[in-house]
Amino acid sequence: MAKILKLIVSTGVIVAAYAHGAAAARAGETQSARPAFEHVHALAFDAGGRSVWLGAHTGLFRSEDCGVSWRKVALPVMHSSPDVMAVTPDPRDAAVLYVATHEAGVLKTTDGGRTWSEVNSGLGGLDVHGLAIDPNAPNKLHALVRDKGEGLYRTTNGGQRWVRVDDGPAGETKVLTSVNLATGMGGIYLYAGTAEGLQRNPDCF
Amino acid sequence: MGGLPTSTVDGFAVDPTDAKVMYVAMRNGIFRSDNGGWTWTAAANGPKNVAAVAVNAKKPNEVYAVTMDGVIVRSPDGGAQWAAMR
Repeated sequence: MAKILKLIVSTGVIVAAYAHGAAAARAGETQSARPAFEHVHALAFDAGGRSVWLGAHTGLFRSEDCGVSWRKVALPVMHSSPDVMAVTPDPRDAAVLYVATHEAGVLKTTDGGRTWSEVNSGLGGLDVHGLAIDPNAPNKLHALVRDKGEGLYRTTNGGQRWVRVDDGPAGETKVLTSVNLATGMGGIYLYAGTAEGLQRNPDCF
Repeated sequence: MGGLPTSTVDGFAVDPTDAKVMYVAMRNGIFRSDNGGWTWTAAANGPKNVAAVAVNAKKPNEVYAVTMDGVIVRSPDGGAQWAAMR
């Protein structure tokens, strides 16, 4: 597929960005230079460093030109624009991405966002405020559920089955990330951005 | 967590090639740690009211952030300099 080199001059900085024709033609996506995100919750790069994903109150968005223009990505849930609380790319496979939503649990794509499936089996509720992927074992994720079924859940098979681990971080949590720093106890750390600041806990309990 | 304001942490990102390098996004701005979060330095000319931050998986010095009103900003040098994307 032909690539179009686009030079963007922005406040003295020249950025070379590649727009991919295949992505531009994806069904179910609408493009806008500056969509109304309203409340932004999450920003993440895919594993290839090519697509930037943004989760917001008005849904899921993708940019393939370094954030200059955005396409809204259709998600197959009963709400037309689910509130996307977290965007969690697989660190090894650019085609795999998980999103956490305020009302529909966790959604997963394995084809770069063309199709999505709900992966909520075992979750006690569908209001998911944080979603972290293990950089060493991408099939292992932690999800933070609020309200009904509140708690921290873990899957070790890419979302096929979740098991509740504990209560999770105290207070309102904005972001949850697995960080590849050894705890000395056989696991790595989970960092949580909360209303009370940054917290971390071992992920091995 | 020295150097990080006692405030809500809205966004967090880690350098995929060096997990000790991490970034926090908050109303006070963007902060970087090089030691796993023990000490933090504010991005002197970075934006305020930041909702989220991300590191380019293939170019870890390239860091993006989005403000609470939806403006995308980019740093080409690990958070030292920032410019809005237009």
